[in-house]
Amino acid sequence: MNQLNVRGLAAVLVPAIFVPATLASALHAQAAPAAAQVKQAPPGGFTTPGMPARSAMPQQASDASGQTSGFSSVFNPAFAFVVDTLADYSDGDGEDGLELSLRSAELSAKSWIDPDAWAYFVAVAEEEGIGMEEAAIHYKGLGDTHTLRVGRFFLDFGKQMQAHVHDLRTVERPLPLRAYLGAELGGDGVQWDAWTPGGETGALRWSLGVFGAINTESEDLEDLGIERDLGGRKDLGDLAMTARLTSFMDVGEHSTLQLGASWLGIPSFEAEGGAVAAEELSQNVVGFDATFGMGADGEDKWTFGTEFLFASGDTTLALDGADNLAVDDKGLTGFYIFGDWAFEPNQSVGLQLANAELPTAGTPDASEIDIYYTRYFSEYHRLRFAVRQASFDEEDTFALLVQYTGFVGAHAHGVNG
Amino acid sequence: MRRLLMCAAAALLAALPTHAADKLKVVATIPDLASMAMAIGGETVEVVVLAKGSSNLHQVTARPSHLVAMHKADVFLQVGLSLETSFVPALLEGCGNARIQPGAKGFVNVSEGYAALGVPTEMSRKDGDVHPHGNPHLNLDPLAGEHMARRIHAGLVANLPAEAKRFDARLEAHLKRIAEARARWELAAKEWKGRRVAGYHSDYDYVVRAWGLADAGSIEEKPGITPTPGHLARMVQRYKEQRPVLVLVAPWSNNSTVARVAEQSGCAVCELPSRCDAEGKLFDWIHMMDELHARLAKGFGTHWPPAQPPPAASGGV
Repeated sequence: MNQLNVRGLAAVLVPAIFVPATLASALHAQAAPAAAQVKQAPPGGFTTPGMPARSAMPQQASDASGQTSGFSSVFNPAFAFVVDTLADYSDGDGEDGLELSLRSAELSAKSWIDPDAWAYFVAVAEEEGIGMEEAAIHYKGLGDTHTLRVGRFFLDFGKQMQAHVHDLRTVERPLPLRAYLGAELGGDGVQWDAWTPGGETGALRWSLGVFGAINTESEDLEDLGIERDLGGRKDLGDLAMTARLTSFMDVGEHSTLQLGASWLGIPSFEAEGGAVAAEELSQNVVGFDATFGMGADGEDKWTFGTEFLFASGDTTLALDGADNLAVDDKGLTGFYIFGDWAFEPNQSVGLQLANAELPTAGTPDASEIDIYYTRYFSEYHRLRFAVRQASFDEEDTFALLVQYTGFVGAHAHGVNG
Repeated sequence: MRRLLMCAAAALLAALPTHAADKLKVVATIPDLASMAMAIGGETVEVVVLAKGSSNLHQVTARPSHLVAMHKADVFLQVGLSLETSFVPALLEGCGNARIQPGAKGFVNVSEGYAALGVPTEMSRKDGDVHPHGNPHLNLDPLAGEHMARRIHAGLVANLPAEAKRFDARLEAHLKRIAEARARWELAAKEWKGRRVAGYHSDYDYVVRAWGLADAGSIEEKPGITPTPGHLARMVQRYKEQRPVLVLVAPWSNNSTVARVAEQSGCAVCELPSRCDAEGKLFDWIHMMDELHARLAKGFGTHWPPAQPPPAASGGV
């Protein structure tokens, strides 16, 4: 269902791809009489339904000899490279000043490996090092509308967790998602997803996932020196699970609505802080999301969205002295709401409000207000300005962010709807 | 009596229109292709159009109803040449319908076999948003009507061979209309040969080629890239030097930049249709192209309809 979630297809962010030649070069190249330009359709009618008409295979020295070298590149995958840079001027959180950084450099590749399966990987270099964020195989042989995904990939939770950070509408993921799920939420496991039409103008999609390891980091807990171990060998009953159900439909001629519910259950994990550890902890996160888009193609487009999250179980961890890791099973809630206005095909502005009870001692309330402007110079590079006002523990932080991102090659992440 | 009743019942059944469930379900990316599919398929086809408006086709958004239509389709019609890149690839990948995937007989790429304009010799983003297989605005080529109709006809026949004779007959009738229309356009265009035109984008390159118009350079410096102030200044100067220049724009590209360039250079702007209208009077491709030529004639100050009656159609193109 990636077509309903891929940024390139989102109501406000469909960039332009235009025609290459100028009138002059086109006319120069086509000096022959006009009628002669029309090639007749192949005799006998419909011979080659695919496109392009000519072979996509590079010409070999001898076509009949086939592949004769281990250096043949004809089956190489589609590669992509993303450079995401950030300038961050902050004032008021104790880390005042300007930071210029290469936030991430991402390399990805994907290719079909047989008629029913394709594989891909996404490797990312960040300040913390180089990591394999995703590497998975999608198997589509279960039926036309079913997909089985195996490997490491982003979990199917809500509308935003499947997107890599550089593909978000804003500079960072919304506060409650970062607090309860992490800046990025990957997992090693298996996921089945399927969809079915609901009438002529809507569809229903669902997914179920089972994971042996969850790859995520909580900035709130790390700030306290606490690390969670969400992987390792487990009993079957201790595997993490996800489920998502979402419905999307046309609303009138120019609007769409998507509603969704997501669940992540982690029945067993460990936490470690200082010299102490806590075992047999568990946690659940439930989310409900809604997204409404309106606007005819080629005209101004509005997108409004919200997501409400509820985290339960052993949500709150804190170091109580050097030899006690305090665990509290308090339920936490958070939400975010946003509105984006694409006033040009390549320009948009947006406002996002977020609030969450943080998973640290006392579950303090935090909130963020983001105002952002995005400009695509072409489909392949983007500049974004954002202003953030964050409030935490009665202290305000102001940040001015400038994000500049370049996309090279066949960039497109397979994400869920 | 019983035999009579059975014959009457059979005759009644035969007289009933084909039930929707028996129709060939066709999804067309643009109304131009849908109008041809309906002209050739008649009551045997049921056609859904994806991009209905007059916006830039490179900016169409996929909708849930598009996904469902693609899932149920027997035949999918696209112009190709990456014209529909913004919405077709993801729909094809997500629709879960093997019948219309590239390579299957239900996938009909209308531009296949046609010599596209402007095929790049070098593939680089320094040339803007490049279309690797050439200019994709084939639906605006006055000479491409027969090719598109034949491609659609072949696709319909391949997917419903039992109706081949009916499709053949309707194709012949449609080709006759196209030939008559083309004679009309050629006659009008005789007065335009060598006249200078400019465009914002390259939507109308095929019209320029077909009728021997002279190119004065485009307002976009590179396809898909917002023109720089320096380039705009050069274009204003060039248009001034080459006046009169008629600036051809589509509804989506008739913007403030074009107006400013036209005002500063003293050139006229001519807005042309960029594709058929899914719900309006220009649903038919021939009517849309008639309107395009009428507006060109008005822009050039020449006759429309052509002053002389068109020559009798020969049946070929």
